[in-house]
Amino acid sequence: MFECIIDDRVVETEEGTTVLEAARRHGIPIPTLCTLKALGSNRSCRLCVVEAEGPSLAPAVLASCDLKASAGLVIRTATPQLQKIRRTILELLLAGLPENREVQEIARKYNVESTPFEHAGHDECVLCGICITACRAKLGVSALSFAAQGDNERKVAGFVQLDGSACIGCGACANLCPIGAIGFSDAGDKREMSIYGRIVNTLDLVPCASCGRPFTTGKVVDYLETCLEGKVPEVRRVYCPECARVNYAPALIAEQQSRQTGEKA
Amino acid sequence: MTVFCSWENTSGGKPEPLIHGQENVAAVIAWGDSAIVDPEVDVVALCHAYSLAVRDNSCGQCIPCRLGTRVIADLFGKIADGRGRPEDLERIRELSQVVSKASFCEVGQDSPKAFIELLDRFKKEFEDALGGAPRDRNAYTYTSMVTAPCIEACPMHLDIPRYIEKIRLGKFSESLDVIKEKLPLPGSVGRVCVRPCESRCRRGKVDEPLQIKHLKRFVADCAAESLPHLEGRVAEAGLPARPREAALKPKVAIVGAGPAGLTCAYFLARKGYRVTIYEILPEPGGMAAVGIPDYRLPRNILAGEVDAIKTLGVEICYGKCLGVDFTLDQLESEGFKGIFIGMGCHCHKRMNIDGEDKGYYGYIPGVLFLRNVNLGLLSEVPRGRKIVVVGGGNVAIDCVRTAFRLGFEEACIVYRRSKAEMPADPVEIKDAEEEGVTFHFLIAPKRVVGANGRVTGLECIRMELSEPDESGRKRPMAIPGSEFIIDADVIVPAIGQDGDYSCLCNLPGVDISAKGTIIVDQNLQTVRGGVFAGGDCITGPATLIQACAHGRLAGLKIDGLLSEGKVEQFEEEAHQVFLKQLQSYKPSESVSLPGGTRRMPIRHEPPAARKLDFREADKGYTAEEAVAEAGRCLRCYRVVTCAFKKK
Repeated sequence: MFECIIDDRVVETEEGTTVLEAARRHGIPIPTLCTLKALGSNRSCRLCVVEAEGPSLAPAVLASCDLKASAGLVIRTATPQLQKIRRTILELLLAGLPENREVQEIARKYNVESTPFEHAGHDECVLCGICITACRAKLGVSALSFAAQGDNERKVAGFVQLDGSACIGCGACANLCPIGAIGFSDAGDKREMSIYGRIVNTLDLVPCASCGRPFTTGKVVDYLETCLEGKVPEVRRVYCPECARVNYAPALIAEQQSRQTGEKA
Repeated sequence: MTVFCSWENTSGGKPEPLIHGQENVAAVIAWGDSAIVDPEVDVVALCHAYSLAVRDNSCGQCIPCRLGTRVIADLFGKIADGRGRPEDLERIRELSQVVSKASFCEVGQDSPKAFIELLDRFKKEFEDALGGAPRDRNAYTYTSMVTAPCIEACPMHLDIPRYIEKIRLGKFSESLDVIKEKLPLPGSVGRVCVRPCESRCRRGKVDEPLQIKHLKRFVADCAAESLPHLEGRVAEAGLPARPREAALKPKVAIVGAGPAGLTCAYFLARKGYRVTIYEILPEPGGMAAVGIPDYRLPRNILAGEVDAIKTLGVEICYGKCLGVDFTLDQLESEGFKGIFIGMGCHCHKRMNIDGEDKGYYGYIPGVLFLRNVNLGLLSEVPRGRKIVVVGGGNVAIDCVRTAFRLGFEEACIVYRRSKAEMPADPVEIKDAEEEGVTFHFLIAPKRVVGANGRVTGLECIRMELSEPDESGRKRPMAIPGSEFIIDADVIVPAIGQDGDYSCLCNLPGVDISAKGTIIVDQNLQTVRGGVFAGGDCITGPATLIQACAHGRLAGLKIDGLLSEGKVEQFEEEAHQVFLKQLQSYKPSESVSLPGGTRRMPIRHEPPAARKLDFREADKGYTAEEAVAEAGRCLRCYRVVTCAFKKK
């Protein structure tokens, strides 16, 4: 444990914590678009910039999601300079995605209503990278990636693309997207994944063995089987969560009790 | 006369004259700095051209740089068109400040700083442009280029930040494709490169440089694991696996299947030439194969990469010596339209001490010692209990470490300077220390001592260091009367190499310098037309990556000669010569970032186990380790735009 100073408050924190985490833990809000507790940071939105100065660090503006807290670090999170930077970033986003309602909402949350910049958009999302990180780093699926148009080989992120053969249709990306750019909808026995309103993948759904309602994609079930080396209990494989709970919880409890009795004997 | 120049080079002067290729540069914006040489230059149009280059080179991953550079470019476009409004200038200034403060990498951080400075300096020009003042838009042309300190340092100018970024994004095979655009031996270079890039890595100013070499090895190993798909992979990368038009293109001969020759063959074969390599040794790889022990560069790695080159249709004839089995005249009469000489430096430098020529059993030069071991000629390798290696370079270290693996109980290095002056890679020195090599510093050999036809010891003399000489190294001076004898069964001099180009001596048109290297022009062509040379045979003993760089260039030059009938400087070469003047790496620069993220360590076989055999000593990264290490890259791309007056 060591101490650093955030906005004149002495903050006690531990090795490996980012300034963003430390600040949040102490109730100091720092805005961010691309960081989620479960996924870490994508270092892309830069809204979380802070002014930092330390024993071996000259004063600098740095992204707090990418800055490890260390002893003696002095942090300011809301100076006029930082407000100006955050405001400009949101104004740029508004200029880049002028028609996007979610982006307008995010900007409004930070009191930015309009942009002085002319329409600068070819983007269809904020390219925060959350969907890609979730798909690759957390799920190990790697169906999503950045892609870019044009012949400049150093362009990395222009849009998000989906590799239909790798996608398992779990929908994690859609649930995490801050602006609803990815979606999925189930119709009949098919699930359609869409990015920027265009259907990019269609997957087969599997019906619940009890109620017959499609509840997930076959690929999700297969992927679970692979990840858990075939140790997925049958109730999780063939029944929808509802039926599993309603119909099989009593049976599971009974089975567990009998096992415990057996162990005692 | 320079109107304005915002930077100074390390010697405190201005980088003058600014010449790109054959042309004078009228003005340049180079990341944060700029120089306006020609007073007539259209600063508004120059800024617009630069803003477009920055926008196009923004990777797009962080919002301020992606959108900010786009808006700045749009605003400059408006102003250059005479449609600008007064508030646009202030907007560019404010936006430049935000982009420069908030962006993740150097493209966003450094590039806009030049705008702020130029808006101040050339206020009147910009205000005139707002009024739509008539300007001659076609007076200048603009050329943009991108570099980075690591790219500059690499003899091959590999796009290091780009392939590292692809690793961070988990796109390992795309990362390898980036490397293979220029380098066909990523697995070999990824193991034994002397990594000039790492010494110029700006991350090193914060904590430690990136492990660029090991990252290269990682992506090469990823692909090697799927070797059966090799042919498919080659085709995938847009390269013809066996070019169909090969029969139509001329034949090219390459002398030497070392790194230079193999790389040259790779580029020529990719372009459809029928390439034949003549190699004196029974196997490919040159110095990389017989000069580097297997525990550093396993033979199957090199062999796999050579196989991939052969898959492109390259033929290798082994056991063929230039001047003995064939001559340049013969090659030309057999219809080879282009010839590349890529011979290595396999001859050792003599110590010039008594006893060296007595023919004692136990005396063997370092390069020969390593070659015999590598070729499996173990009967030609003298054995004993204790080996003494003379020299402080990588070959000396390779010899002592190899000695342990051959069963020597004691191995020591004798070096006439101190540890600080050793030219060997510090990592290698540390590995050798761990394995139990003894180092004797400030000692020079004086006489090889022998009895009954065998080496028994090395007479040495103690040295002391003078003040640094003109090369910056301290000169060792003998201390009179301090002679003593170190017992030894085997003595290995490893104090440098020379080429053996005796085979070239009587050939018209190929000139040899006083140093014994082949003389070539700036296009790597010898005075004998159509005959090119590269690698150690033009530089003297140098590095693997340098040889590959020559091989690639020579291959492209030969293609130029055979397809268009001319050999000339490429644009990329002109860029590189120009960029060198701008000094993308400033030793004095301080990088204001928090340190403390150390480089991902390399796992090794334990010294006691590894010194018993030739298994590879260093282990590769796992995917997680490689991705984490790649995340440390600061992406120090620098965007440069030059203006040239139209003729």
